[in-house]
Amino acid sequence: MKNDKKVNTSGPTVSGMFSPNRDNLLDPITDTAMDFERCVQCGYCRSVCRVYNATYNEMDYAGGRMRILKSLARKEIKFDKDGIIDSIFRCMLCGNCAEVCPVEIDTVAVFQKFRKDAIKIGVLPKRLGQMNDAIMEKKNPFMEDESRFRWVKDCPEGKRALERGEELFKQIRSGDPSSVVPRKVAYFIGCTAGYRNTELAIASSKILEKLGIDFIMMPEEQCCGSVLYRTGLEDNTIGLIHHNTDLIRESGVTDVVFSCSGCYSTLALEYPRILKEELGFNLYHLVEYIPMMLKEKGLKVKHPKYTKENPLVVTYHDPCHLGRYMKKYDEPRELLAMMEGIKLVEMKHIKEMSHCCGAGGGVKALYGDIAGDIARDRLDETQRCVIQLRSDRMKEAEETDADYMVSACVFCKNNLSQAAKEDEAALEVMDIIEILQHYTFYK
Amino acid sequence: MTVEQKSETLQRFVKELGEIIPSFHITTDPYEIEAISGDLSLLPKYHYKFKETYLADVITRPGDTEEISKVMAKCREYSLPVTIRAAATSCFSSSSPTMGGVIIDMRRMNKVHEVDADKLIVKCDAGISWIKLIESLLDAGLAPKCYPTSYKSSCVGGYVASSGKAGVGSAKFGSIKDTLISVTFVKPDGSVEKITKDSKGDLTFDNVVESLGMYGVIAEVEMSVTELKTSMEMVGYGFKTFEAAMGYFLAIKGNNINKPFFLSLSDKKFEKLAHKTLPTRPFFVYAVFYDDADKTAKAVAFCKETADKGDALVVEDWYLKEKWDDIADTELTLGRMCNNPVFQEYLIDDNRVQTFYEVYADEGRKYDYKDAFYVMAGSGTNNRIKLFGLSDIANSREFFGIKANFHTMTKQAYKQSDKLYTTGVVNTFYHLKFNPEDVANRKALKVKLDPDELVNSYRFVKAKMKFWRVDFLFWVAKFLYTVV
Ligand SMILES: Cc1cc2nc3c(=O)[nH]c(=O)nc-3n(C[C@H](O)[C@H](O)[C@H](O)COP(=O)(O)OP(=O)(O)OC[C@H]3O[C@@H](n4cnc5c(N)ncnc54)[C@H](O)[C@@H]3O)c2cc1C
Ligand code: SF4
Ligand code: SF4
Repeated sequence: MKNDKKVNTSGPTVSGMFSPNRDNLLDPITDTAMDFERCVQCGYCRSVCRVYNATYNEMDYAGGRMRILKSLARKEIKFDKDGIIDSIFRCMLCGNCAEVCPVEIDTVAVFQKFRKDAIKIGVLPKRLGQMNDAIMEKKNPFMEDESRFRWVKDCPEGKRALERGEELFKQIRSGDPSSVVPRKVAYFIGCTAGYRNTELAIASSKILEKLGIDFIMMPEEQCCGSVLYRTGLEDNTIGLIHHNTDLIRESGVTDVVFSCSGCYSTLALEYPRILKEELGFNLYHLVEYIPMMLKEKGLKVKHPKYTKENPLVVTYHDPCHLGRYMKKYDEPRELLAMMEGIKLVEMKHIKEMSHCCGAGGGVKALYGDIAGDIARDRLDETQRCVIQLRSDRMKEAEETDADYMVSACVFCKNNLSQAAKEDEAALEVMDIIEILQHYTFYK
Repeated sequence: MTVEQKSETLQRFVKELGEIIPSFHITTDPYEIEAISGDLSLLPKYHYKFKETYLADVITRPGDTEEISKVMAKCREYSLPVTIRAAATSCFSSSSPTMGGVIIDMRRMNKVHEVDADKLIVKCDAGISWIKLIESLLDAGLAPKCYPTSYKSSCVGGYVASSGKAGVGSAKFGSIKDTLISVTFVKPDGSVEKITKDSKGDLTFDNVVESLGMYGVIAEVEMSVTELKTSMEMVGYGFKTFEAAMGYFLAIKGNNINKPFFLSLSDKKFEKLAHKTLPTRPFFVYAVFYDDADKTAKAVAFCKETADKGDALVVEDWYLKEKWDDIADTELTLGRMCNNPVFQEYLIDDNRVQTFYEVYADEGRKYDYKDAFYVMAGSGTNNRIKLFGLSDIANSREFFGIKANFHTMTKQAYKQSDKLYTTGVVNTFYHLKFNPEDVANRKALKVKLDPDELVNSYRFVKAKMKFWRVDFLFWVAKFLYTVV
């Protein structure tokens, strides 16, 4: 192996690994409804599509799907409700294709519209139907009857926040404005941290309290609607969107913080678009809110064990929803840099060109288990694809020799942890928040 | 053969293929077939729409040479037409079916087999994309010597089969043929042969390079690579006339101190496509040097000195850097501004670029569509010239008017002893008309290797389109555009 220390990294060999430079380009003439027509079929997005790279199936990457859309629009091919399912749903909606598209098609918007239109004319995989029913009925995708705050019994910080929330709504609804103790910050926990990954809700609550923030949690919080929205059931999210928006507005908080990147991007991008109005409150992911607060309060953080000399080596996986969707690339890295004793080593594909973990776009939910209405070999192909995607990302992380792979998305964490277990990987997967909870905050 | 018989034969074929390669890499899924049967040029579908043969019947994705060999033998056994397809960026239906049959999709063959950093050699599958190869070589401190600017999707085998004479690295290191050491080739009967520069059999190196898939499949490629260099510099100057720009372009191209790694000449209209800020002069020469620091410095000094002697206006550094970052996108960004970008590519010798441009400028006065002109330096005296038109297929008068202008320019290219850069399916008739000797040679070899004319055969040997017919149609299109 040659020594590549002297490599000129702005040289020709790496230029293609980055998304194109768009600073000096005119905005494209776009129309989401018909944007597939602008696809020039260059195939650049094929190289970055993790799904294509697992299946080699031409209809699995953006350009191939755009071609199908063009032909459907011109009625040159038939619309077959069952046959077309894979073409519609075997996509992580990771947005990497949009990042490299030279004509700047908002591929994710096009695909979400494709899903929505297809569902309207009767394409509904059985499993998606079940998930939809669960969310409609129980306001969470896990068919859980009980509250999403059961975990607070093991977390005094969470318990206090929930009580503050209950109290706040009681005061507001009492009809006596003078009794209301206004609160500034609400923590939107989301379904997954509430029901499945409660360790994340606990860690987040602890950190917020350590920061001296009297945050609340909203007892009537419902599913943000992300899964339904991503899988094309946008119309069914309207009730949830109104409910959550009204609830937050009613609480009077100015800042809503999230530990889930999916909830965060859904409220930030889709809520105002669907409501056709500004939400009227600020939204932050914790990995950007915490550094902001640390700076504002002049706080530093240190770990009982890890130091500069004896660091914990981590590599950071950019979640699609926080990175490509919300363009928050530097904030989590800034937080890691503020954490004493953390050494960040980067993977090859990061930020705009980060590889998706394989859990997005409803693919895992739709294809992760046995879905009776999908032909067996196709199901195998898709399951293999999901497994390969997470395994590939794990391998890339292992190449960095880090102790931990950290992220800021519960879905990434779960999917990549599964890969770490399956592949007996040398590193563990954690959320940054989980590591941060063990730090001491000091002036 | 009746429809039932055909369907039954195909079913048997697919079943038997399933014993050769994993079944999920064989498909008859109509959506996948639709997705894979076209290219950037919009053409495959519309030229063959009425014959309904632009769609394949079966797609296969072999994973190694052995699988390709068995697939080829099986296709011959069933007398099924074969289309070899890489990334389909060479357009003009080059890798799209014309007679249905089987598409051999090369892109599962994407492994790097060996990197020898001491001998500066890489062995890889032909279906690997350039971007993947570049990434893999980077780990070893190496880089390919030449590759097309479509490297973000196009494949090594596609560049070899279309003779890769101009692209990144070509002016410095030569064409793809100059870097090749050996090619593992699968012939239409399924036999495998390793072809080197010394091969004396039916197939030579020259046949394989620019074979356009006619004689079989390039399965693996062994080629020389270069070490990563430490210094990269760019220069760019604006000129008032094409002649002055071309003079400068040729001076840089011919400077033996250090040849440019990339060199282009574009008109302002090309730079204007989708750019907010751009060089002010009508013509722009852009050169990238990538070498050891002292060599790069000398080359840059030469460029500056030469520019100072003439009336050249320096272009700001940020623009030059941005242009390099976006070198793969630059021919595509016009798609931001219109629905259907159309283009034609030519292989023009250094000595004849000027005449070619003059005819283009002259003809251009008859048209008022948005156009652009782009020259990319190639190996030796080669240049790849690309003409663009911004169009919308809904405006058929304009769309076919642009095509008619390209037709005029193609005739000009052949008239001045140059040719089209890519001979796909839809432009094969030019080659038949203007290059009968080459066609005869190709046919002779084809008869030996593929007597049933099954493999990529529409190119040259089965072409039905007649030059006079197309010439007449474009005359009408031009008339409708320029007169009516
Ligand atoms: C934006 C853009 C930029 C471009 N820049 C350049 C450039 O700088 N220089 C340049 O030369 N061209 C350029 N091209 C044209 C094209 O990209 C190149 O010719 C490229 O090498 C084609 O590779 P491909 O993988 O897309 O091959 P395809 O287009 O799929 O195939 C090309 C031909 O080769 C045959 N073929 C493909 N693979 C094999 C194989 N393994 N064995 C046998 N036959 C095979 C096909 O049947 C077809 O006839 C550009 C095109 C675009 C769209
Ligand atoms: S969004 Fe991601 S998974 Fe879907 S086509 Fe684009 S790159 Fe592939
Ligand atoms: S990168 Fe954009 S234009 Fe190119 S194939 Fe993909 S979606 Fe189409």
